[in-house]
Amino acid sequence: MSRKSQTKSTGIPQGHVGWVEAAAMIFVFDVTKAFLAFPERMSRSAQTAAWSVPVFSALLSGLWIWALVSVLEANPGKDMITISKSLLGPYLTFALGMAFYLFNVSIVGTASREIADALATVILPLTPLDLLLFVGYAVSLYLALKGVEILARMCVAGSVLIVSLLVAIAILSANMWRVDSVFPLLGPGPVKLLKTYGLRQSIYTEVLGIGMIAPYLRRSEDTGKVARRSLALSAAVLSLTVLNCEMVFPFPSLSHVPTPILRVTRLIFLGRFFQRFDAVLVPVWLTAGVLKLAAGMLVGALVLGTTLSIKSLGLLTAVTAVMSAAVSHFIPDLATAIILDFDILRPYSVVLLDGWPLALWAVSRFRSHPGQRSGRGKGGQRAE
Amino acid sequence: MRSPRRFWILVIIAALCAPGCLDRAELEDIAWVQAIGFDKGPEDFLSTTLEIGVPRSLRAGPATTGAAGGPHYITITVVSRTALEALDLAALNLGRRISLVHAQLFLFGEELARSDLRPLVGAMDRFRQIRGSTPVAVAHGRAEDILRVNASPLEVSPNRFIQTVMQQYERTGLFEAATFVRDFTNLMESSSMSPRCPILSLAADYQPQKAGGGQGDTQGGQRDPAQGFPSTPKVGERVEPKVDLKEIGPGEDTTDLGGWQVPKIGGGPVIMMGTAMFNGGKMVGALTGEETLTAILIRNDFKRGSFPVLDPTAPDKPELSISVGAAGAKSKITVKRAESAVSVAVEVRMDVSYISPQTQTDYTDPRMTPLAERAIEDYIKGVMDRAIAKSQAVGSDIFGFGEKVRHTFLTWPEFEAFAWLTKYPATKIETMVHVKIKRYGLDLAPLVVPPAEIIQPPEQ
Repeated sequence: MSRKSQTKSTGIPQGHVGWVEAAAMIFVFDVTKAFLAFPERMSRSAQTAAWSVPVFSALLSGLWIWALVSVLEANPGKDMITISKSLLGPYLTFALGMAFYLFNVSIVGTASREIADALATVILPLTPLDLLLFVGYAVSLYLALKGVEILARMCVAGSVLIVSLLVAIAILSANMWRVDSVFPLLGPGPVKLLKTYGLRQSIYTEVLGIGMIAPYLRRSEDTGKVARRSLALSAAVLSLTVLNCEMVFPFPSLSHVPTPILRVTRLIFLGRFFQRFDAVLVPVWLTAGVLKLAAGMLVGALVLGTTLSIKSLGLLTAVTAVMSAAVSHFIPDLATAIILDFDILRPYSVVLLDGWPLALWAVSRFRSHPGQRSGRGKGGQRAE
Repeated sequence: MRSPRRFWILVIIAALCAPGCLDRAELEDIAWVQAIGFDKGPEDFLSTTLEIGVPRSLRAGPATTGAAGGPHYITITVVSRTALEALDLAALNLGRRISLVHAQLFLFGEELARSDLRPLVGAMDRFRQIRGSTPVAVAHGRAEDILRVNASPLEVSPNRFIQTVMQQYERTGLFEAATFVRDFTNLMESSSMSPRCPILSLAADYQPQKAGGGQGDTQGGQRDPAQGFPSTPKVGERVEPKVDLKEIGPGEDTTDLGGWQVPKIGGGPVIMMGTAMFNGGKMVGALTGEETLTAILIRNDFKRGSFPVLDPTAPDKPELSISVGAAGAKSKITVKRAESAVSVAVEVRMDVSYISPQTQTDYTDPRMTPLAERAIEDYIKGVMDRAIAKSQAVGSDIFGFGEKVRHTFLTWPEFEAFAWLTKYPATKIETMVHVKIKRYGLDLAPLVVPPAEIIQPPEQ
């Protein structure tokens, strides 16, 4: 039975979630990009070796995720901003917090724009883009305002839907696969490939959200489990999706298809009376999109609230929604949204990913905080 | 209890929206295109032919005309710079919005296909109404001619005919079943494999209609597209072959022709057979039905097919051929590369069964079986070598040997710089066929000839 919402010292209301719900939330937040231009960008980056990027980038990401989890588990009940304030000082934390917030707003903005644009291009050509965006944001905001507990539970259902659908698409499109498409195995060459693996750790920037979700865990010891499971599942699903798209649209064809999974789905032909499999894809796609936006808004609001010590999570969620909507609105077209997301924001976010958690871990190793270290206990309770 | 009420309100709203028309278009306001054809138009314009179903005529009625007495479909050909403009112009003429979402065939006229299809295909690939799973074909001659007569006497609509004729790919292997995106658009960009698609042609016995007899012409002309083409010929009419049958060698059959050459009379006015080979966006050659079958064998796509093989004990008597059928085959392509020199070895293994051996030699005798097996192997290898030589001559790797050449490179830039398709014509390709006869049909031996006929054959 869920515990009644309580108020943290920041004033942010919270419920408590188990590791499954938390992992599902991080997974949905991260993996929804599989429905968008993600496979196309992987194809551009790594050519025939595109499928390997999610796997090897996940292995590299393991380092900063391990550092983050170590710090969070050593400070139960605290989020990464609060921990940063005590370890890195308020000024650096403010800069990091705002950078993470702006990044979050931007990826929510670009993702919603990609979804709305694809929807308008393929299914609703006469519907104004702003109307699609408005409806998407309204539903997402409603969900985000429901709080972590409800959103995380919805993400469990969303995860099942997303994984089932992507696996079904892979199975049903298997007759179109050209397995030789993954050769030559090293794509652009070993050096460029390694560079791509490093830069594309940004695929998992959303996993940084664990830093804000951790205080909501019933058991703070589960933080590592949440990180490992969500990262592994994300890597597997993203790699399978890219592999599937790559074998149906061999490089270089894949490198100019902005919504590959939708295109693959439209190729599935099961028979005379069942040849519109995209009718199944679109609802799941929209569900995943709405959950991603909601998770992004919620994480953004938590980051902003903790960084600026503002107590009203509802207000901050609405502010985050408006800011993300503004980003979506001012992006001129789909191509710009994709470039902004995958070629500008994410590559630079690697500095944040590799710098912030590792800095926290390093400082926590060299500075003594006996008071905080002794506060290890049940999640959701602040260390005094 | 507020949540359940909200939930049901949401369900009712969703239910009201779901069946609604997303882009404010009534079904009766739309002209549903069943097939679309492209030809070279005058003065380098594009000639676009739309075959549009007439739904009210598709209700129960005689196969030749619809329930309302009108034709099952109409065609309109519009000349314009681009295909999109053609759709707009057709809409102005027909008074309905044109929709391609149910199009079952994209047909390209041969002249247009030989010029360059890449810009047109690229434009089609972007259009949201185009489905990538739609079959694509090249018309022998002009696409507009074929779409005007594209009807089978057995089907109520051309759409249905396209669906059923495509199924014959798996049963005969005499044409390629190509879809728009997988086998055409993607392969136009491929550095390792060339695009290919089937050839649709007017049958050899089709006679152009007389002036004034246009399709759907109710003023004394024809009301039905198939009308004027006698599905059942008159008594006494005979097949008049368009090719000299004497030129077909004893080891060949009429499946080794182009579809437009197949000697026949009656039935339907169009036939799908053979393969159009492309080099990039340009059609550069064609394979016959039998050659297509071996191409499918090499690519491991073979489902079913039959081979007419000369009886090795009576090579001068094609009427005694061993006709064998096969269901499934395994091919293995081995590629060796030393710098820029590539050699390819193709090994095909298949089990066959006698379907209707007309031979009078008893090949079920284990001592004779190897002789028949060698003859079948030689026959298939001969056709296969001929198909490969044809494709090499025009530089079109429709077999996908390049897909295996990719394995010999570690990085994509190296493979791209190798430019496989330029090396393909000079590549040494060896083929090997291994055949095992597994089944003999319902008889173990040829019909017994009474000894009296052998001793004293009846005089003619």
